[in-house]
Amino acid sequence: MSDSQSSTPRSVAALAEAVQNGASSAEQSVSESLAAIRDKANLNAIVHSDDETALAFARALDERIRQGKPGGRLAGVPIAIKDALATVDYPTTCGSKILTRRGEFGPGHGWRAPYDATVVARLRAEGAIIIGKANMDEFAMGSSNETSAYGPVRNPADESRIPGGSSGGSAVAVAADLAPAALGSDTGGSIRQPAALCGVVGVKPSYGRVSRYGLVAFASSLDQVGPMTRDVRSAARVLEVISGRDAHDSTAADTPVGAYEAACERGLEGLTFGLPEEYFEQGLDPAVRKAVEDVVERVKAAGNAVKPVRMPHTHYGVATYYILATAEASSNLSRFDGVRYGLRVEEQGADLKEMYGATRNAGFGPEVKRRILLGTYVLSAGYYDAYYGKAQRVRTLIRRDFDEAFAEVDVLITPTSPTPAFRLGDRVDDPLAMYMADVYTLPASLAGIAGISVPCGTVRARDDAGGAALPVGVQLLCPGFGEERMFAAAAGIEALVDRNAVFQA
Amino acid sequence: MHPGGAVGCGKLRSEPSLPPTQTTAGTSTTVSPCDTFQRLITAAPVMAITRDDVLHVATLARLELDESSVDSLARDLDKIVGYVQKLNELDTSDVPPTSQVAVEAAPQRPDEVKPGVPRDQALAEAPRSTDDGFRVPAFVEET
Repeated sequence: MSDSQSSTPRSVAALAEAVQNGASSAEQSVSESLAAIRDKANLNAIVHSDDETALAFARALDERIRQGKPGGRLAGVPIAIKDALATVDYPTTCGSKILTRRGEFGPGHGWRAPYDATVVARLRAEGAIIIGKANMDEFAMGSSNETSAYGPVRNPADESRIPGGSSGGSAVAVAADLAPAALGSDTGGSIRQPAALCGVVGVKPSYGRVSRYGLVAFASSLDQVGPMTRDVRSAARVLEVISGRDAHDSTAADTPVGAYEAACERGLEGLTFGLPEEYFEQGLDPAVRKAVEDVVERVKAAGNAVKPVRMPHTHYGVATYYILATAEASSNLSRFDGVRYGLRVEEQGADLKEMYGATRNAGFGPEVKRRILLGTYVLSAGYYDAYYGKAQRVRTLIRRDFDEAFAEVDVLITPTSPTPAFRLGDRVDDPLAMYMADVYTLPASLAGIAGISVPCGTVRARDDAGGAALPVGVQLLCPGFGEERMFAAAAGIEALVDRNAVFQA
Repeated sequence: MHPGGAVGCGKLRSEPSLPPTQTTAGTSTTVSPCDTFQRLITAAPVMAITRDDVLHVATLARLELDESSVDSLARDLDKIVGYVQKLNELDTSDVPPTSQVAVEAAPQRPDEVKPGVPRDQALAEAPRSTDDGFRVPAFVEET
């Protein structure tokens, strides 16, 4: 990795070390990060930032280090936080107008959380500096970052294209060097897909690996917080910091946190890889296929066994997900009612129900309304068993596909996204086409297993042969709580591939 | 209109993310007679989502809709609901539901009384409040 563009290291471990030993400082790294946010404001990646807050934390950390105290595993590392995570010193708005505060909507304005999300508190405790809140699809509902009330985020590889979503601002923060790391959240692919489309590493931890306390809930049985970074080892370090049991979230597992960063040194030796045929069928962009097949060839050349596996229920992932996730969302989003926080719209003489309805109409955007209606529909009288119950049973079949595959192989290799980044506006009028962007990431979310997207090359868009090289990611999947194995495989593959190579169909 | 709307098996569940029983793969589950009936009715030709359906569901969701958006929402939902019918290709009569994964790893904590959010902090973000609570429009009809 080249450090030529900035004077401070871009890998998390190297930066934390430089800050700790005095070669750099938190103030310097944070100043550079804030300058980059200003210089690249056109990307619209960060919606809330505050120079004085970030610099005050940085100076306090530098003072601690000068006094000989340890700065922490993330000493002086600027981190962008997806705006779905609660932070006491920045607004938390989930890309939505409904978290408007006192009638003021826009950057710097919005609901103020009374506490930090557990993951945010854990980052701060290890010396990380929160440099701002990253733009996102409204309530994480979208695959292109176009549903944000703050406007779309632009892909730094080609600003006419989407960055992916819903953690698009987090992906762009890392890809455009606004910060060496970001946190996203992944419900059906919202970390992995934008990571792939922006050319960064994105980790969707196993369900239960990371606390959801302070993450504004979308679909509670699927949501996980995870890191996005330039390189695999940096992601491993951030995940180690944020993982583990939390008295505030009973779904945060007791399972011991692994040595993820150390696992990055293990290499690929002894790992058997599986190629699920269903992830390489029609709908996969031919150039993206070439890039992923190149990874497979390199893994084989390194001496690893690669076996075909069948996962026959893969094709049912999108339908299953859009029933279960919208059902859970329709319930979770009932809390936005104009009473306790956020926007309130109240006509003179309106009763309570009218206030609820008017507030939610004014506060939610079209995609959120669509999903609330769909979720309410599939849970409503007469349809509950036919849709919600049915989807829960198919979810079991999808889990079994993974159980059977992992009885044969250690790691699954798939494309992360079927296509490279599409153009802004291309799919906004076709919800189903948008949902298909997550076809390869949804099954792992439904199964609750561990997944990572690693940059593996670039392609030219089919509609723009002379255009920019667009990043492609390879997705690696491991069983639940198999993160150590996943990081060993991911770091091994990262070392084998050239992320700047251009693949053609 | 609501095809199948007269079937009394389903209920409106307000907390789907916290179902009463958490079943994981390998655990047996009871299949209600309603499940069988639902399979029969959903095997019928794909239903159409109408404007009335959208307005009914919007009422349940406490969501007022702009008149101009209702038709396009009906079209979108019809397309999505049509697509998810694809699940009916699978026979799931012997498959238990998954409502949550990794519950076996979820720890318990001691049941201790701890202070909650202080009242002034809880009220600080309220759009309207009184001295000691959230202020809402009247919702009990006067007799």
